[in-house]
Amino acid sequence: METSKTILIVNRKAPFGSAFAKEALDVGLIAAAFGQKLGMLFMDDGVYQLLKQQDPADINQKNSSQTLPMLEMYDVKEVYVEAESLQARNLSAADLLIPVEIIDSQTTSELLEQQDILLNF
Amino acid sequence: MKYSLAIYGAPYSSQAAETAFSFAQAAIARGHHIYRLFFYLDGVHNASNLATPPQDETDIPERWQQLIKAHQIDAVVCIAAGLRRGLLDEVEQQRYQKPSNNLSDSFTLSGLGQLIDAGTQSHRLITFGA
Repeated sequence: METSKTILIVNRKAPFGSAFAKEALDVGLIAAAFGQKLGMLFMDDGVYQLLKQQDPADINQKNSSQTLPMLEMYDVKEVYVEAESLQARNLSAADLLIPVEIIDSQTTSELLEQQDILLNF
Repeated sequence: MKYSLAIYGAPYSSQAAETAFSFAQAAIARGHHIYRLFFYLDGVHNASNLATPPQDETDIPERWQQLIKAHQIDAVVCIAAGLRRGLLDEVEQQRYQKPSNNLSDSFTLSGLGQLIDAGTQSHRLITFGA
């Protein structure tokens, strides 16, 4: 089996309101467990997935953001956030739960271009 | 070219299922190979054998079954996504003591590793319904 391909999971949706964020993170953890070269990109409303102090108990949802630190345990070092998406939402790195690399939209385009596999959520 | 398709949209709710089906059909007609269909998120509903659309609408799950059988395509439903949405085969029905099962026999329940494998083994993995 060819295992040298690079995978980037592109997270573009808000953490709640749909199952995308939660199920995308599941894919990330599985891909990492399979030893794939994995990156996670958060852009558009997807940046909200990284916010500190999420508490969705009142809407009967699990707090998937608590699983985010697992990425580091699974050796996923490439976590990217698009700068413009943060700025448009008046957010900064200080608002985020895990360490990330903030990249501009030009670099984001290049990052997407470099990947073998893009998984969009 | 070896293609895999990841389908995240439910039939009758999202156009994704119909578009994915048309893509698969066109790819096969052009002589390409479908390595795997992977149904995830609400896409798992494509694998139900209980969908009963009105007669003047396309039976999308039935069309998937025919395509999968005719071309012996590997069609996988994510087991975690399927179970929480009520897509069960006989094994899972018995395991969880549920009154019935509804996974079409053209599909198999398996894990997310099959999505990663589809990506690494195919020339292109295309997502429908993200």
